[in-house]
Amino acid sequence: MSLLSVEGLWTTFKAPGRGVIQAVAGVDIAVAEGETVGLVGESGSGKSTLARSVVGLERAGRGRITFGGTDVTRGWPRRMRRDVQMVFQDPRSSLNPRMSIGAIVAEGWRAHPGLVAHRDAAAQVAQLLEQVGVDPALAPRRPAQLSGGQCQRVAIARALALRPRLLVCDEAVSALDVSVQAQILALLARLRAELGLAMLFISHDLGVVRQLAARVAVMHRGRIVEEGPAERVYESPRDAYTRTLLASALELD
Amino acid sequence: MDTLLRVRDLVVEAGPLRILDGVALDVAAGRTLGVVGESGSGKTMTANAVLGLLPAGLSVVSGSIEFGGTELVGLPESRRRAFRGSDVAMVFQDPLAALNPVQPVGRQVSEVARRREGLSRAAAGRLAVELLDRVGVPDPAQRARAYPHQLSGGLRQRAVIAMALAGRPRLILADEPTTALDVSVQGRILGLLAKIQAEDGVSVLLISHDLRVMAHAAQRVAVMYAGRVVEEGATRQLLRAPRHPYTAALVRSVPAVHTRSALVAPIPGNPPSLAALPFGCRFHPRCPLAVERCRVEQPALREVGPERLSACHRAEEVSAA
Repeated sequence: MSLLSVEGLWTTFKAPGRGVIQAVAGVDIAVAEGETVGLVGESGSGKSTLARSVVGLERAGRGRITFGGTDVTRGWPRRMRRDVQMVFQDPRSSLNPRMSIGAIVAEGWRAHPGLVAHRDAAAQVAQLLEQVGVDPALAPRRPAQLSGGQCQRVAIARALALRPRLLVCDEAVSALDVSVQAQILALLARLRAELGLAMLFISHDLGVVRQLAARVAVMHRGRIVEEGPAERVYESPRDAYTRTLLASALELD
Repeated sequence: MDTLLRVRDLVVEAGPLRILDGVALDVAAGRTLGVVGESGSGKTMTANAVLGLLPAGLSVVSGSIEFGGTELVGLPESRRRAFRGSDVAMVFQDPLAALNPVQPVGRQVSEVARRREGLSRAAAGRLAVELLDRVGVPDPAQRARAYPHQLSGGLRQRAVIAMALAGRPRLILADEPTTALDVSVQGRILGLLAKIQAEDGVSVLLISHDLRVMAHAAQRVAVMYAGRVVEEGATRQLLRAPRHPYTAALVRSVPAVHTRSALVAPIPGNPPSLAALPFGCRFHPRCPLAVERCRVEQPALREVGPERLSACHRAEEVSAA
């Protein structure tokens, strides 16, 4: 039984002078409880639009999105909104520069008052920061005083603060230096094991996706052209586009 | 082998901050030197210093940049500009920023050729189509009339490379030329740079954060960390058997596509801020091999093998695993 299920999803935009763009054109994808699904594709493939449609940041046109059996195609009920959280590519622009990182981590609790008692908030923030590898003593600092890698850890802590069941990562490690990227990948793998999180992990980098994903979907021009267990897709791709993508991926040797 | 570009003891400062601290590089004639490093390592500033295009507030404090036997440091701006206009061509990450949005790309290529060769407009136009063809733009005669926004990212970067070639440079300075391109295009653009280099004997200074780019396009690589070169060597040997712990960590940070191997975060922490550099070796707070000497004494770049340089006190003990 899938945690997230997307069936026949279409998301379209009206582009001035270019008519209607079908960014997502009839996509089926599912993520089981605790499973990590990798979504790979090049720029313009529709992978980010798919992610944004899933979390309700874009309006789905046709199709059906369900989460834990509830239909969320037309929007997420308030009580369910914390179940899915998103981590974006650029941690600096996704964190409010005027807020302390402690306040950023705690912000979501205002919309979900039952989650953490007010008197426990500071201790919970410290624990979350520790969990993602940020010194809790940095809680009063602002994002600009942190490195890019630390900001991305804060963005992950903010997402975890709401105890989501699904984490959607959209190019979450793509803007990081490689040594820091390796740290964040290790962090995501550890958190997933500790918390039983499901993940939809989106990236153009096939190597990065292979690190985390148990299943992989390849997106091209708004459609999923191939989907299957990661090992099968990487070792014996069936679709011509997947083969091209794999053949052109740069390797160290 | 002749050295086209020789950088020695280059120091660049911004007020109290030392951005480059004694950088040394050699780009051989007709070869590609890759400079790899993470953000803030100084790789782009090194390129800017070579071009004489340091941002306001930054200046070369000491050191030497020799190009074809001519010292560039201290040259008047007019001669630096002449150098930029004729001997060097630039290819940057974002081809849109390098192209004029309101002029057809063929025209932009032919303008460079006209300035350089004094060709007639018609002859320069024909040369532009030839160059677009050479860099792999399909239907070059037709595409020459296209505006940058009508081309894909890969074709735009090819047009920029055609522009670079039109100036018949001796050095192409390519700063993250494939970083903004799609995965399926990156390898082809790197292949194109390699082909041009082999055909024209032009030298390339290739700057990237990505070791995979180096593996595909550079014969030698210099690794930069916090404003210094920490290792230099032939690409294959450097990637197979790093002689600096930072290079070893970078190599182990690259996730493989074609083999299944779990990535273990090889080093903790972040590259240091130039405002708060650690004493001794700048890498020692993140280094698994650090000993007391590393905390107190900054290692100099030294020869640790044939054509192999490392700035590590314990270079002989670094292993790839």
